[in-house]
Amino acid sequence: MSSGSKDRADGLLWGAGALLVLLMAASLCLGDLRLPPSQVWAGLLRRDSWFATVVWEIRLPRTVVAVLVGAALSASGLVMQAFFRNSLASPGLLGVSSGGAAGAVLAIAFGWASLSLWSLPLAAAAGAAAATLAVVAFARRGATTDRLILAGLALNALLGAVTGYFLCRHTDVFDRNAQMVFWLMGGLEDRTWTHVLIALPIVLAAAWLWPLGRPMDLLSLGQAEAQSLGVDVRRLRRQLLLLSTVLTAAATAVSGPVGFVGLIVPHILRLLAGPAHRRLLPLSLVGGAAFVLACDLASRLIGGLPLGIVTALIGGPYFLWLLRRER
Amino acid sequence: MERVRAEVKSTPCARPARVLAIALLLAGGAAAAPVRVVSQTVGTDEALLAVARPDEIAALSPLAHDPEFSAVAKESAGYPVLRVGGDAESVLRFRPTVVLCADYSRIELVSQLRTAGVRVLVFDRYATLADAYDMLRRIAAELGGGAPARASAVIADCQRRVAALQRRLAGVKPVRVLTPSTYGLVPGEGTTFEDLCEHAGAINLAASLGHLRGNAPPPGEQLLTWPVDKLVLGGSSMAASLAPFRALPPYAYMASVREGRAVLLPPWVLGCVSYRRVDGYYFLARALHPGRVP
Repeated sequence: MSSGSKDRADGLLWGAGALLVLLMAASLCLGDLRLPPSQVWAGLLRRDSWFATVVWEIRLPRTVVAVLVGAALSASGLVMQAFFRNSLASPGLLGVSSGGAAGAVLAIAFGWASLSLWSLPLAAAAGAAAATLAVVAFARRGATTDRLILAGLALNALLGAVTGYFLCRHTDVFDRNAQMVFWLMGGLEDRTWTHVLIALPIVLAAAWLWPLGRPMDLLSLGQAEAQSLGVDVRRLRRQLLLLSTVLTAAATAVSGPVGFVGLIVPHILRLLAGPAHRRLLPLSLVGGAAFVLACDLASRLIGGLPLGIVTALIGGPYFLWLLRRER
Repeated sequence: MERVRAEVKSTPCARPARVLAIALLLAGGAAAAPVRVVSQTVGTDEALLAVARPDEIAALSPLAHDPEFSAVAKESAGYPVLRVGGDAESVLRFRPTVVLCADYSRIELVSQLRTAGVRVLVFDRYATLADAYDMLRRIAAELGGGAPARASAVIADCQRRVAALQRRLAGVKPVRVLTPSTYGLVPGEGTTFEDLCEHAGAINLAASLGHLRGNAPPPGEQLLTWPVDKLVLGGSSMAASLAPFRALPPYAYMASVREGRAVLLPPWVLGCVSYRRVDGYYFLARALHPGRVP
């Protein structure tokens, strides 16, 4: 990597970090309850119990979940693209998001979702974990990249059918059907510290992923080249697969399936900062967090449009503009 | 029957809000804090408006002003409504002390409201008139003051009207009805429409012949053999309400659709879960038995 592009990547990382801090501050200041910054500050310092409740119990968990989900989906997308050496790869490719969706839909259909705050995210996590296990089991049998993608397609179709069946089956129970549809569009409304707890594996997976940037760069040269440069390719690929699926599963469990983030954010960052993964990894984590938080803020300001719709509405045109500019 | 849950969870997070509430109480010379109620559903809107004083109503559900769904569209015009799909803050901005939710309200929302120290009543029974009375009583008990007496008066009036209607319909030949739907579902046993039919001298064929439970897909071909005397439709224009079914199989091939044998109700009646369904009994009974119910 040239020093120019390194400086550019460093500058971008600092810029994305600063943007993330600003967005987090905005996320704490903006809401239906119009609290001026002084009251938000009083709440943050717990000087006033009402403001503290709003800031600590409503806005902060939502902000933290948005940050974790954004970081997870973006990093997962980057890993998938490196793993498959294909820029069209995204976190949903192997069926993990579909597994989470199927788990959540089952929980809503059978009424478990209303039993406890844990039920819905845990059911989604269980669905995603089942899909993850299927993928990992397939990978352990030495499946090639093409066969893994095909397995992911099959898993997506199968789990999509499960979700579709329960959606159709429960059209007669309008309220549950509506819950399913809203969950499937992704969202961060009313997230609590319970959701933050459920999303904590994202922090562990990100910490594990952080030092893998350089081996990922070597892998992008090709398996044989990476092997000759001392990378245990087989082990690295397993780690990447596992980490990507854990990141996607944890994010899907707390936010529902939020599309587009894992595809678009790494692309945008690659266009801006170059292809080196050791730079792109931290940038993806911070940039993804900033992107989802910005989309969630936009969603709140325009009256509660589902997050998945906002990510596509904001990210799509920007991505097209960027592609056109970089052509 | 009494299955309404009213709880304030004792979470550590709810403590500061309660401390604040107690402090405010003491500062105000121990005067009782005013009750401010936010209603999240149309059914609770209708019940709340019947028993609460205007100053006790902080906000109503997003559909409160919509005559398609709400029996109180006119009465509720002066009150603010919640925004569709709003989060906890969109409810808390009305500074409620009580929020009326349904069992299908998002559990995250209910949890956030309780964490903020707000009392949340969750209603989970709506199928019968007894459930509607129960809703009135529970809301009134929450409001205190003159509300329980107002609830008792509303319930007594409903009981008197229902009894009067039953006397008028005594011995009448029930009319066999069906309420078609473009959604592919019709209401069978255990629905508010079934309750409407039972009180208005009608037989809901989806329940009696079709043995359907809840809102369920009708048996397409068998539907053509059902002896439907009248279709029950919601809307304000017979032609407009019948039009979709004239082109939609299997309804398009039913004699009742072709011949336009249908009665029209205000659309909110078909989904009403509050005590206002008594008005619905009268609407339907009057349409089906005009000689008995003028």
